[in-house]
Amino acid sequence: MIGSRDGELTPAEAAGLQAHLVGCAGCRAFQGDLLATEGMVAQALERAAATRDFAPFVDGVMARVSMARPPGLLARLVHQLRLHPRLAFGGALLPIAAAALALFIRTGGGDLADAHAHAVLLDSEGRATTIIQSSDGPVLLLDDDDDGES
Amino acid sequence: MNRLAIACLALLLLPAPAVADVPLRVRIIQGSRQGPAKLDPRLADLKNQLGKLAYLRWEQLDEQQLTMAVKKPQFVKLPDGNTLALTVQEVQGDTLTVEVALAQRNTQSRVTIDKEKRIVHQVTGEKNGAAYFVTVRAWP
Repeated sequence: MIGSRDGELTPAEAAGLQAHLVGCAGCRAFQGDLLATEGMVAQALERAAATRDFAPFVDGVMARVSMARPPGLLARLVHQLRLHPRLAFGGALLPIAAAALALFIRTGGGDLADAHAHAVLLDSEGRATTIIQSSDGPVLLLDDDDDGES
Repeated sequence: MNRLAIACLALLLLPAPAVADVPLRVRIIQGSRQGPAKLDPRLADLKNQLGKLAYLRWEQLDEQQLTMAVKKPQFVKLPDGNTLALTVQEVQGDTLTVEVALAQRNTQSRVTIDKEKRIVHQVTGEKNGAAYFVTVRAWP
């Protein structure tokens, strides 16, 4: 009987149910109560839904979206630093590292300067020059094309 | 944070510290192919470098102690009458760049060495089996 409401019964089952209801007063009474209950529930839901006015719904949502502006850059940065404490620690060291680098460059020193040791830069015109490197320093030789010169 | 950034910027913008004068030991030496091999005792510290060359006899002819200001050339008279110009182009820590200029040969050499090293530079062409060299050492 419950399945018959949604058309789930085959035609033969539906015909059998109708035939039974004709001869069974109890089932007819039960079916009547069932239909009445369904109708009441449906109407009650519709009434409950009707009490809510959805007309300003869209306007309300849009108003809330406009009020929820994105946080500023500083607020986002603080938020990210709270989420990543290691990043915050590294960021705090960055100015110190920059200062150390500046000092290193200004004093011109250390291993970088050593890396340039023994570099030989030649700027000559028309004359070839031979360079011999040694552990004590470079030896630079002039070409021999002017034997007897001077 | 902002104060640190300003401090770093100020550090970068500060004028560079003045570079002090650089003392140079300059020697004029002669290498010769003739005669028995001999190294002037005053050139013992150059034995490693001079030993790489084909000259057998080495003699020191002149020695000068120069006080060089950066980028200010000083001139050294050579035995053949020509002039050698020496210029300290740059000093960085314990390294310096020296320019050796030979106007007669239209040649300039810029050599960067550190404190303990020496430059040996031929300054004249070979004549009768002999040639002149200059050796330069900073902060001797």
